[in-house]
Amino acid sequence: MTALHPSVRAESPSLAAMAKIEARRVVRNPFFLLAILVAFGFQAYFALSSSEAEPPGDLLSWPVIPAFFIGLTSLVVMARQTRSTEAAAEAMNAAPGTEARRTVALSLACLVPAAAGLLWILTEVAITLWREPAPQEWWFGTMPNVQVWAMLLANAPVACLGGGLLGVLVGRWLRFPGAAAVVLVVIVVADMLGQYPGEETSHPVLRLWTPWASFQSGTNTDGTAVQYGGNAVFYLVYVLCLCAAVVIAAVWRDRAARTRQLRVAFAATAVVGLLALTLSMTTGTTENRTSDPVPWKVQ
Amino acid sequence: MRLWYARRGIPWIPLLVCCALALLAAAVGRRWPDTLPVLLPGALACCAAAAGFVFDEAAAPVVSVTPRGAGWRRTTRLCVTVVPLVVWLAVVALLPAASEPDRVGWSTAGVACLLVAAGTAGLSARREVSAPGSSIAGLVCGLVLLPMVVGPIAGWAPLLPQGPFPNWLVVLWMGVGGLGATLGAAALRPGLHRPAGRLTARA
Repeated sequence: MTALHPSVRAESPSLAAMAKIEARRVVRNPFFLLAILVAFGFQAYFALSSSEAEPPGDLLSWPVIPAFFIGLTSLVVMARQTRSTEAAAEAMNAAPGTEARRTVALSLACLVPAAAGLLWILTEVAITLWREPAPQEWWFGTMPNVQVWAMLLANAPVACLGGGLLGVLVGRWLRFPGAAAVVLVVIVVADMLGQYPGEETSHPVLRLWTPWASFQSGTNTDGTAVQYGGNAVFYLVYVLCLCAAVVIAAVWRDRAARTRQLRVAFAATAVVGLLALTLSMTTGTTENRTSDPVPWKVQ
Repeated sequence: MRLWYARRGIPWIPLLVCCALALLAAAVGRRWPDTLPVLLPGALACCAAAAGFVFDEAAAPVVSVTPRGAGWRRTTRLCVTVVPLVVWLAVVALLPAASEPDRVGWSTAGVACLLVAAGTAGLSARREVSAPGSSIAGLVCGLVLLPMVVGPIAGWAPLLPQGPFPNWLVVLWMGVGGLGATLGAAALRPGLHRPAGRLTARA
């Protein structure tokens, strides 16, 4: 068995303890709890407003709910949590843990919103088992299962994770008050503008550079729905690389942590991310596909 | 004296950053009108966020015992809401005529959002929250963008439509504005809201 370096053995429990403390702070944040309640409330509303005759629809659009409520709330919450130690900056500088380790601990705490997002999509899948969607619906059975799982994972838990990590990045790098709100508006507006190629151009895959890409149009007036082109599996890899890049950029704030390893890690993440983005745009179904009309949705 | 206080007491950097972003969105929307359905709510969110910062007080423990009093400071700060308000009205005025915007509807919605943001911030200041701006800005931005992002999937009627605002929607926004004005009036009441047993500052 490979022996760990003594310093690693000494530091590991400490990082886990710090991450636990930060995770506990996230869980106890009233805004975060409220956001989770609202996200699940919407899901309950969608489920309860359906019936046997009119089963739940637009299922691939649902993950916008956890991404908006949990992900964006995590952005603001984590930015505040990251900056909250600044009042005691001098004491923190004297503490044994470095800023980079505190950043990593905060990043690990972002697994809490990711777990909430994961639970949300598992509940969505459970709802569709309870009340089976229309056969024309873009869901399992109309495309490879792995694509559906990748769409759900990328747009809910990974989006929630990314929101929290972006908050850590904002807290580390942007010092003016309200920076999180400004970033929130910029990211929502940029992301929504980035979706334009989905329907407006003949190259729907050009929307996939955005950190949250839509894969379904929502129901049209003729009862059909458009599934936007792009390989969701590689898109999932791309957004995970974005998350990793955000963590590295946040750690980079600590001058002592700017090692060669970190540079190599950033370069590797960038290369893998760009490769995944390219593959998500060029493999699989790159064209939009329109479903058959769902009879009860025809207006 | 009020100008002197406003110049030094207001956190101008976040306020002006938000205003600048709103103007930038308006300029981009003017150049590419197709982007207005997204940019206009974004600009509104920025202006409302800017209004949330006017009650941030960096030296709250010091100024709370100064002879001018909390009422004087709060009215001075509330007047600064004029800055994001003027920016918003400029954004609405800059909208390209070709897109046929409902300027009255958008102005009403903007004034309502600004009043709610400033009123909530004022109430927080009255309750001795020294810097409510960041939280309020985040909350207001989320609420303004909510109908645009979640509305289509939830099946809501658009609260910020690109076409003419129906009468019920104008009334709704006027109601929101009334709520904001009430919050602002409550915030301007003299004195500070402190739990029993603590010293009260001079109003």
